[in-house]
Amino acid sequence: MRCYNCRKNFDYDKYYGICPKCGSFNRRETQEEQHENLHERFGDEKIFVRAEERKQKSGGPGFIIISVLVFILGIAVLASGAAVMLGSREVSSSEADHTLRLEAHEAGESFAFQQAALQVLEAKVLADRDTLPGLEKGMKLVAVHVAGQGDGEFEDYNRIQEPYLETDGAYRYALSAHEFEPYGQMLGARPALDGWALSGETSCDGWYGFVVEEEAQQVRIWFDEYDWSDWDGGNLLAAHYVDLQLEEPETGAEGGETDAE
Amino acid sequence: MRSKAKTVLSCSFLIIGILCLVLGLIFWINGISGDRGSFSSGTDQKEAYCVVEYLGSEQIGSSYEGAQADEGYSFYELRFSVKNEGDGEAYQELPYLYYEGENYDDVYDYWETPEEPEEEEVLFAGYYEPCLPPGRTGTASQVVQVKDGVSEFSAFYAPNYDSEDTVLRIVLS
Repeated sequence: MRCYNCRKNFDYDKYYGICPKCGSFNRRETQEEQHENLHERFGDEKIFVRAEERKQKSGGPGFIIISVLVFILGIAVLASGAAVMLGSREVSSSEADHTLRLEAHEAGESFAFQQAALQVLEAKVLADRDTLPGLEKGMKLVAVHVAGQGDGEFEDYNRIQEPYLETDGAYRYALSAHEFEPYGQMLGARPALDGWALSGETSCDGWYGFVVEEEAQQVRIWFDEYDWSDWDGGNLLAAHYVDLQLEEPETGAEGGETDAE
Repeated sequence: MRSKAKTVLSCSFLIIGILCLVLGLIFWINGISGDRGSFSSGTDQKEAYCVVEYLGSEQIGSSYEGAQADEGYSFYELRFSVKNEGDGEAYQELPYLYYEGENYDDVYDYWETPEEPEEEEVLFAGYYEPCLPPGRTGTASQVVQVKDGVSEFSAFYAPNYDSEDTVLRIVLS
């Protein structure tokens, strides 16, 4: 045999394929010859059995367990996803039906509101442009008398969202207590209430101020009831309303209570 | 043969499992994104969604609040009902309406007003403009000047900032 490295001729069987000159190992057979040798050594059957074993290994118990786990996980995710989607559809359809709970109450009636009770007592005209020339043309200042009982806790759930006043389909915000207070004091509607009137208090009794059209005689006050337990803005649960007749100021009246301080 | 059947069964489980997983994730995403805007959503992104309905109109004539209509035009008062279907308050009682007739000059929502003396600052500024609380329906009106002979035109509005324009057909009565 000739060494593939140094080209020296040597006896393969004597040196077991190792070149006596350079020490390189030389193979005698080609790849096909090696393959045939293996067949001769182990036989065809043995080789077939090993291939089968390999196949069995690829579909072994580990693969089955993983497949079953993926299947169970998939079913669980599908079921929960379907439940979430159906739930959101129900909410959407209820929104489309406008199922905001609207609750009507009478003037003087005490009604449950969040963790408290509210009572709308009366509404009166405080001033028109003759009394307060600063008012916008065609508008007047009115006040709504509201009383409430709470648990005295200084908690967010006691917060009252500022009410709206509706006149003929037009809704307006309540004046901020800060802006309304001095005029309310002068014109006999004090104290002014704000969103925190029942926070840390067991009761409140005061007035909300609004501006409405001069010709308005009937008004509707709206209190939106929220679940304030959510820190991110609260959930609107219901809207309570009370229809009121506006009482005109008595001619020659003393002008209401005033605060000497 | 038995092992082959087992492999096929495992593969089937795996494929079905992956399909269920993907479908379930899609349902989850749809469910969560579809939850926005309900009265009880509890999100800090409260949004109004105002749906406007045309109720009718009334011809005012050629002058309105001291303003004179353009030649060949008349003032009309259009009445609408507005329903706030969102979970947030609408700061205006009526969304902005953009009018369009068959011809570009069929209808205008602006006109020249006579110069008025500068108004003094009013008391309680900011409290006069009506708003629309969530879940309630209000009424609103708007005055436009319409070219003589035009009996109908369109009004476009967006119920909220994210939504596409909605078209209202306005037929003058």
